[in-house]
Amino acid sequence: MKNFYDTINLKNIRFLRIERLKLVCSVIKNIRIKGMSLVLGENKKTIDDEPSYYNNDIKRLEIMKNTIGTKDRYISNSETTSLDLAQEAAEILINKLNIDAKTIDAVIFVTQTPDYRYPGNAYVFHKCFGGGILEKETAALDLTLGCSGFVYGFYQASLMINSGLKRVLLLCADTLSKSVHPKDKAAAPILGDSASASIIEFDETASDTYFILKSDGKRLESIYCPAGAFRMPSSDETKKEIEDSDGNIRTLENFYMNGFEVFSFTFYEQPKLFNEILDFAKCSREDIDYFVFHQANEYIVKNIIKNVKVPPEKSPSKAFSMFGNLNSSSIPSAICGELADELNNGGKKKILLQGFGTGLSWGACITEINNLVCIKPQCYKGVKIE
Amino acid sequence: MNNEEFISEISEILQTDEKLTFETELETLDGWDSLARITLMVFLQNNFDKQVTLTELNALKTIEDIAKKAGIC
Repeated sequence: MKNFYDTINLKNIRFLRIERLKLVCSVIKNIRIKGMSLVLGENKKTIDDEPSYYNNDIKRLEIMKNTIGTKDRYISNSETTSLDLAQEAAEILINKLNIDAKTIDAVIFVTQTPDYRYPGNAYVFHKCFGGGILEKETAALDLTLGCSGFVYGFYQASLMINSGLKRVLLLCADTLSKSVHPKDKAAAPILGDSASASIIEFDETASDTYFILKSDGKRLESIYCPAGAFRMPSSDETKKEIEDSDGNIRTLENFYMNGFEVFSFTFYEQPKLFNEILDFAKCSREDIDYFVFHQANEYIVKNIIKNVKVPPEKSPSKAFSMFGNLNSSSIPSAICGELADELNNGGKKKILLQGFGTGLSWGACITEINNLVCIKPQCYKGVKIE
Repeated sequence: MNNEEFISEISEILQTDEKLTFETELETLDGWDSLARITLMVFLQNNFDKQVTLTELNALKTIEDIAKKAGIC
């Protein structure tokens, strides 16, 4: 096997280019996710109250509930932004971990729905958090990603730690309900608003973390927002409502997803990546305590679980029904929403995380947690979930 | 999978109680929507190891076309 590897040792990161598989994989030492929190938009929506998404066809609504798993989601108020949700997620996590915010060496903010066109939300967070307590020495960086965002953000945090930083705050936040057209029946009833915060630290006792990351820009138009930036600036034309052949209404400035293309990408590519990350980490399914896939919807997650042959009890699949598709916060939503009781004080656990979405972009990692501090989801402004 | 079992699986995918035959035209069925196309894609991969694109699915006219795609006729 060694002939296939072109290994570059850079401090304690090994980048491996596996020529045979044309993959770029990384093994990273001494990093650990210490804690995680999730804050949801303040308004709970239940699909039973919204039959108009299915032309008041109750049979259709039941089919969607039973196959896709559509049930509850949480939408933010019009004045609540990604930053607001992220600040609260960060605050509850930092308090729970009992760490001093001044010891955060870098903030990574993953979002597609920022507060300003520029600069990125990491800077808005740097300005606002705790009334401005973050130091000038804290690095701030944004990543514009959706459902693969947690894995990519974790990778970026891990690289920073291996360059000498000790503690990184990873924020994933979106308010896609403000980007989707309310009459887009395919997308509006499945997307929720939320923010997650995670603290990633240098830890000499941590075992290796394995990453594989992939992209396919050629399929960019499968999930995107066509207009409103500088390629197609906002105009009267881009604000016009257009009805597609399935009866969904949206403008060019709204979130767009080609459901079939995205499902097809998920269905054919994710099992491959899953097998590659297990191979790369030289792990068997039995070595992994939890398999956490992006909670795109229950149907997709269950199909992946079935195809890659992992035990359903080791792979959360209910987060979509509980919170909606939370894109970059979706992996944290499955961890905080479904595994919190088992992980808090649960000792060492090996977990596989896999995200996939806009870009198209997909990535997986295998990492070990140790008594992960896992805060159960709550709504913005500290409201408990019913 | 014999033809009868195949038709029964397709009825399930199309969420229909109508009696289907190989000649049934898909466009005449309410259930032949985007969700059915996705479910059919999963069915073809899981049972017959066949991958299909959206263009190929949209080109299917009858149940027999699906059976040909599956390689059972």
